[in-house]
Amino acid sequence: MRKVFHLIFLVILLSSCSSSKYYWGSFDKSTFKYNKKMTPETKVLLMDNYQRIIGHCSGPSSSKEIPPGIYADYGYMLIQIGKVSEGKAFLEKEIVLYPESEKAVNYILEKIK
Amino acid sequence: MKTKYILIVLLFVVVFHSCAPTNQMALKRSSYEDYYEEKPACVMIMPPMNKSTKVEAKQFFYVTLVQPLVEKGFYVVPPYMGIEMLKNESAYDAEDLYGRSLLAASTTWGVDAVLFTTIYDWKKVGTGAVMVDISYELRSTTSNKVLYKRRGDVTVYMTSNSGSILVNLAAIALKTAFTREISVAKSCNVIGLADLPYGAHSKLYLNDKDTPIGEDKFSIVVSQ
Repeated sequence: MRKVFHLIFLVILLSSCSSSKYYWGSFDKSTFKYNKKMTPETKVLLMDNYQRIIGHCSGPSSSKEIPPGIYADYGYMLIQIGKVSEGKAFLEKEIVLYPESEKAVNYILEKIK
Repeated sequence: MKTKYILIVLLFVVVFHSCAPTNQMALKRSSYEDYYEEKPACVMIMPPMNKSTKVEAKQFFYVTLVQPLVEKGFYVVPPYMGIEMLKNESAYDAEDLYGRSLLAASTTWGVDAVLFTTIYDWKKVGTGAVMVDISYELRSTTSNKVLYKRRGDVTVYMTSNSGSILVNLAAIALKTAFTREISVAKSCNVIGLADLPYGAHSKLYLNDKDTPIGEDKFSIVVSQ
């Protein structure tokens, strides 16, 4: 009986995974490539994916939400390549959207001062 | 269509996996009391501890843990920022942190809970299948209590749904190794975190307490 309930729950879980409220782009692939080999090229791929996610979710007809962390990661990378005000704006967006990120984002902002 | 196929196979696999009746069904509310008391909102994923011979397993699991946790309603410190934060504080190695106080993660970063993952084994079994032995442990940064824990082995069969065996084998071979291995890690993570209570961004937050849960140690076969 327990197995049946567990199965039903797993089915519901997997069903819900297929109708996510978020858009991820090629998150797994780009994140894996960067973490495996942290080069400027893989960093560009990662940033490109984040740009794509942000663009997709910001579109007028998009029904998807920006996943937690995307604005923060993208903003931090922008700051690192010299686009400080643009990067800070994304970090602040992260805090507005996800207030529980405030301490982590402020930690990053302090480090880059 | 692919999701439907996975669900049908799962149905057969899990129903026939064990039909032993149990007298008691454990519910989330009793098994995860500390979770419901502490209600962690912000989670940091540690790079997995890899005890297997598959070197890349660490990265496969690390990058595919973010989505299932976010989909369950948690705020997850994003991987790029998270790695930089850990390296800044010389806290990148999960092996050094495991079992120690995590209070600094709370005071410094506002992290409520840290997810530790241990990959015990990753091996090929038969044609086109991989078996992974893995554990998940979500630990509070303030109380250091274990809020969620599961260990199990997941065997993932890669299949193709054409009518021809030769076409199927070719299709499996053509799927890049990366795609197959990422899928394996993803499946394990979805299954391993299936009983985790929902986080604050989920509609089911705090409304899932009466959901029955599986055994602490599980064994499951999936096909995808």
